[in-house]
Amino acid sequence: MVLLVTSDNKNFVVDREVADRSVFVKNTLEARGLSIATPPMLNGGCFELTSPFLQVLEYCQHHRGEPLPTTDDANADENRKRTTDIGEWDRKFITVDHEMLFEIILAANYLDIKPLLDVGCKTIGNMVKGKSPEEVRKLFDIVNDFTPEEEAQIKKENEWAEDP
Amino acid sequence: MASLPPNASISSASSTLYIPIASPPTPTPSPGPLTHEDDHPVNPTHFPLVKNFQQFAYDPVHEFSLLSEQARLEYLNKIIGNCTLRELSHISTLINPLLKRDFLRELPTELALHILSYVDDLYGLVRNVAGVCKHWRRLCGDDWLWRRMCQRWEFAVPPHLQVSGDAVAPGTAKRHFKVLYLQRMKWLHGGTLLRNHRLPIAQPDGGVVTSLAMDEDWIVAGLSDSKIHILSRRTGVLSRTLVGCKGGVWALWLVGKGSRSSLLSRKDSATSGSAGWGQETPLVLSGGCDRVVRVWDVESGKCLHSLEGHRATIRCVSVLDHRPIAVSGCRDSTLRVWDIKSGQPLRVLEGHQSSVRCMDAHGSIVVSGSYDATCRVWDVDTGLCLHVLRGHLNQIYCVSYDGVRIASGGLDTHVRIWDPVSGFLHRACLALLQGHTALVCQIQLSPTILATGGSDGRVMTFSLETYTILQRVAAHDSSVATLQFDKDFLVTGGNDGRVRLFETNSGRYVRDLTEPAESIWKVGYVGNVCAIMCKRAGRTVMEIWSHDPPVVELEMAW
Repeated sequence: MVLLVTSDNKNFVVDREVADRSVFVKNTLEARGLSIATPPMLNGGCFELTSPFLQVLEYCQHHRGEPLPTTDDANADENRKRTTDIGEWDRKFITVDHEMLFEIILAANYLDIKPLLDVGCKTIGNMVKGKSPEEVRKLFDIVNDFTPEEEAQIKKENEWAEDP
Repeated sequence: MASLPPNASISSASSTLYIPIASPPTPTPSPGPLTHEDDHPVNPTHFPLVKNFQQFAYDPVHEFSLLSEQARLEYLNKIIGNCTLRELSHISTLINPLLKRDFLRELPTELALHILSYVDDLYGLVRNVAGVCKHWRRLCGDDWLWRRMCQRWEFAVPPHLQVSGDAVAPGTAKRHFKVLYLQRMKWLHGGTLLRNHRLPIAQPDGGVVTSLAMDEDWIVAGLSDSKIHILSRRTGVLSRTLVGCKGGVWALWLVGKGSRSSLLSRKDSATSGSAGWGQETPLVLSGGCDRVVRVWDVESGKCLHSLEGHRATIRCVSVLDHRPIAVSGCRDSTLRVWDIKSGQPLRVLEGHQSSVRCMDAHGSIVVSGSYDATCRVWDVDTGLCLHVLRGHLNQIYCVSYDGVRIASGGLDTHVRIWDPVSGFLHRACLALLQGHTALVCQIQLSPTILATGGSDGRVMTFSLETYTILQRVAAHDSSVATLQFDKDFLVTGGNDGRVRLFETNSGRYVRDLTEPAESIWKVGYVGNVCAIMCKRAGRTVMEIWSHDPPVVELEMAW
């Protein structure tokens, strides 16, 4: 068992196998030979801190024991098959609002949980795919800062990438 | 999940609060006083309503900021519990945009790019994502992203582009991708005919193009009427015609100028070209019915050497990479080694019992294929026959050697892979590949794939890892006359008059590269220029096609 402490001083006792999903925690534990890790979680607001961490723990719990991708494998995998498919459980898991998705991605990045980071990034990628610029702006509340001339220019510049 | 300390419940309270804010208000009854006094806030003292909250004696925002985390939540619960539906709806419209996140702007750049790397369709990235706003557009131009796009399209990325750094101007990777993408589209959808040479008919059946050699500068065609035509690869313009052979030309080799090698990094048997040894001008070697190996200067058109010694028609010539050493194979069953710098014969390679039909060289090793049903492995420098490769049942028509393996095909319809090192042992034959139903006359090796073409019109590709069939393509209605492939495409020409383009890996037919002709003799390509030697309306036709995108498309601003 491992005790994990978030930066807002919440304590979580989890199985080592669960904690090891995070390469950051795993390396910290291995390097120090300790069973206590205190990742200084994301700084910032109040309850966002523990809340994404609970989600991350749920993910780690579900995927406990699965082989961790090594750095070499990760590259090879990406080259061989870079699918945007997300597993059924992961898809349900990651169906959260923007704020939570944002926090989960940051947490996964910080804690070095590559598969979770990929799931989060894929989810946003899939949200963008197949949408017109206007639809994307609406989805993410983005202001169009192009002038009409610039828009025309961009369109012209990118004509080479016509949908075959 | 493992047991959680008691304070974890706080967080679950936080998350349950979190969701009602995010979700739009519903018409179901709200808790609290709302159910009693639908549209009027609670005002039990019946004082006149305050019109402006700034008249309060205290600042509610300041008070709110003083509260603890838990108290803030309770405070908000109270406020929301006291709101009308209309007010909740108002809050919802205020909050919804606040809860939306511009992920690409707010996440660290490397994560934003990671996200964009999942937007894997080019059109979506270039047309949609880049059109969202200036920040997204900048992200879309990132070199890392375009290197990833290159990988996805299996485009080669030159070493200097593989790492980001100050040495590489921003946008270089995108430009690199664009060039390769446009070239690919040209190959897939149609090239530009640079030149179309129709040669006058000297005599019936006299103008057959028997041999073709190409490098990055020149296209050389040898004809059965003894002429050799030299064309510019870039423009397709006929530069000169070499005259002097006393009979049909049957074999050609092109040696690049100097030792420069860009498109041709090494000897390329597929295009019969090699890098030179530092000589001042490009050279052409020819051999044919007049039994003479001729060395021509491409720039002056002069014949530098006429190398005599063979006693029958010369069927194949080859020049070693970076060395002035040439080897010729002949119907007199010998091979001869020549110094083409001095014009001196060096040695005779004897051993074959019948015509030498084909050969391929790598380093100082030459492999010859003969009508005596054997291949021989020769050390050019000593003249020794290192191995005799026995196994074919009949005449050998084609051989390929890349320094790692030898592949041969012949009249027995078989293809054999040989180990050049242990050639003297009975295990020299690594694999016997079957699948053709007639003479195997075309062969090309790559590090992973072997492609063969037969008189049965079939083109087959084999895996060199497993020695199994990858693709079996019914490419032509009659014999496959010519074949060349790279990692992307496989180009074949047939006696049925068609030139066909296939995808190498899938074997998928893409298109015909030109209009049907009476017969296709030779097809070859270097870079994006493809030379098609064919017969149309009884005349010899040399078509030069370019698959380079128009310059104007490339120079478009980014």
